[in-house]
Amino acid sequence: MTYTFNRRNFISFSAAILAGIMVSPDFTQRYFSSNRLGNRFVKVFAHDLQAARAVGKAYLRDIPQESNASILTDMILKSGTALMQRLDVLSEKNLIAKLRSTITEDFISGNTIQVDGWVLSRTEARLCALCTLL
Amino acid sequence: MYIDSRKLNTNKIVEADICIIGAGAAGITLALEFINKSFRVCLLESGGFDYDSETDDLSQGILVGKNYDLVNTRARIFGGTTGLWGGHCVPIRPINFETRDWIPYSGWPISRNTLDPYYQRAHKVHKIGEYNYDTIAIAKSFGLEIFPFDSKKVESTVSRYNAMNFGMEYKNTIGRSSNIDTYLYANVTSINILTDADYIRDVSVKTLGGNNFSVRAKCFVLATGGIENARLLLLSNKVQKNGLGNEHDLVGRFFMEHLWYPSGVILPAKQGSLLEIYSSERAYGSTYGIRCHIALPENILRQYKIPAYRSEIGTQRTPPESVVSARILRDNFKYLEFPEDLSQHVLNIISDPGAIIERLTSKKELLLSYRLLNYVEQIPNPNSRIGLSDQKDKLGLNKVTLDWRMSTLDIVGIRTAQKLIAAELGRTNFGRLRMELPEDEKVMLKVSGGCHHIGTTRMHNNPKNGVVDANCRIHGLKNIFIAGSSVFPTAGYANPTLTIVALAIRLADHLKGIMAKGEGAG
Repeated sequence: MTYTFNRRNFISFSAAILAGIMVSPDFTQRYFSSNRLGNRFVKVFAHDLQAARAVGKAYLRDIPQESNASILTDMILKSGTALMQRLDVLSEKNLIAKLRSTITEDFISGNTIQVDGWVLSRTEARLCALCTLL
Repeated sequence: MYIDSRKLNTNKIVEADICIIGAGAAGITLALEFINKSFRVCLLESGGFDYDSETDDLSQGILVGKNYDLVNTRARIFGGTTGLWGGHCVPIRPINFETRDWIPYSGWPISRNTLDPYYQRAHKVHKIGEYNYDTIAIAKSFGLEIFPFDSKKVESTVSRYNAMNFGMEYKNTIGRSSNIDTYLYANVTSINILTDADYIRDVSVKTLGGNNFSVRAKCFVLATGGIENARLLLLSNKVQKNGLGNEHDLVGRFFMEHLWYPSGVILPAKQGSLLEIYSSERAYGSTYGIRCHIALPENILRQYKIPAYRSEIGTQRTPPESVVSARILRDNFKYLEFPEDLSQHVLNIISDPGAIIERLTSKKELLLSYRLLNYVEQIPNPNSRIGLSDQKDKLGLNKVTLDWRMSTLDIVGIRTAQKLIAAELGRTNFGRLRMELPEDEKVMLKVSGGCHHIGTTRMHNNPKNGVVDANCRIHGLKNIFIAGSSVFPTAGYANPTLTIVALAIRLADHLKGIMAKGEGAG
């Protein structure tokens, strides 16, 4: 499928790309609520979104000043290479690649954040935060 | 020959060239080195070949500081704590022999290079194969790869394992030796010097049955473990009132452990084999196994100024929390008890009863995750110490006191290590790590030791800074030496037994030289 990206659908897209980037999609839902690990990793959009939202809520609880989709989108797009800022010319495949690359860069540069103890890339934590705004 | 000291005539005097006090890893290694040599060896052991509760009770003592098990971390038996240990063998890393400006009281008077040939010989004693710790090559031999860490941030190390009981393994070898007499149930109560003398004349020995004897020798080696070595020196205070070799109040100080704190969960992105060689021991030779671990490289220790850090990786397969809660309630109800967080457990069960049913009816595989078993070097602390209580044991000797102290500096490295490991897991997208570290003070309450008793008669060339010199001879005394981890100035992260054996072999060579020259006081 070919997307025409704009800032609006980037938000909903974030949840989908997290399926390929984050681990065990419902781990956070179960883990955050009771500190127990959850079920097997399942690549289902609905479960990923739940997990992403759980992470995102915890992130925004700690950093409430980023509780705005526009602010979050700006931060995510600016944190990577300049190419990500031209959403409209990026294919889905390239956007996924760029986001993965940014997340890797975050871990290399130490741009990480602890969300309820989980050490996450700042970018992936922000992507999760975006999902709470869906 | 083995002799039951309980059957000896009281006031007997045993004569030998070398008297080894203690038949654990160090004492037995020394004895092996002296087999069939021209000089006579007397080996004294508090216990026998089997566990004896009355003898074990002699290890009881008084705790002044942090909680610690003085009895079950020691073993008064031929073979010592090699009857209890897990067999973990790894040499101390070069950086741990250096004076590190961020670790007070660090620095050995010998280097790793000095010990390398003795580590090689120690491998034969331990029966753990060649002296080779090439992690990549060893992993490849299993058809596995090590984790693709950036080795400048996190490194993989390998250890060898053989939980050999030295007592059982070498009982016959030592028993057959024509020049070694081993006295069992022999408790040294005092190490004796004459007034103004600088050599040991003899040691007094007593059995729980009440008979006494003494051993005279040209040289003595104290090899009773990190707690008892210090205690015996402090007890030997008829002439040197502060205890033998304790002119500068160092005997018993700097008690260190390896700090152990399980914390940190790794959730992999997919169930794979990348951590397989870390999560369990694998048979490598006919008598030993290997296992990989995660450690912080030397450049990181220097950069962040932290103590040595290593982590073992444990696997866990975790069911959904409703199943866990059901188990907890079942186990509590069995004893008519209620867990503190009963309402949460009930909520867990109500919210996901299907998982319980599925667990009961299905053999579906549980999620594999990994737990970090953090293992840290304790920083030397002179106020962490062994002393003597006013309470007496059944031999009439002052019981030991242990005031084990640590500081938050000891555990600072755990946070740094986990952040670095988390970054590497994220960079490679292997998975994510959850740090489970509360405030430092809470970590300190829960951290435990690895049953390693280190540092209480530390090695230093300057008698004002150490109890023994670089040859493990007690400063100020000509003919008494110490073997064991009590001489380590720092702990590193390496389990101590391989180094104990290597140092014992080195000391044995030194003593052979003394015997050859006809030296040794007496």
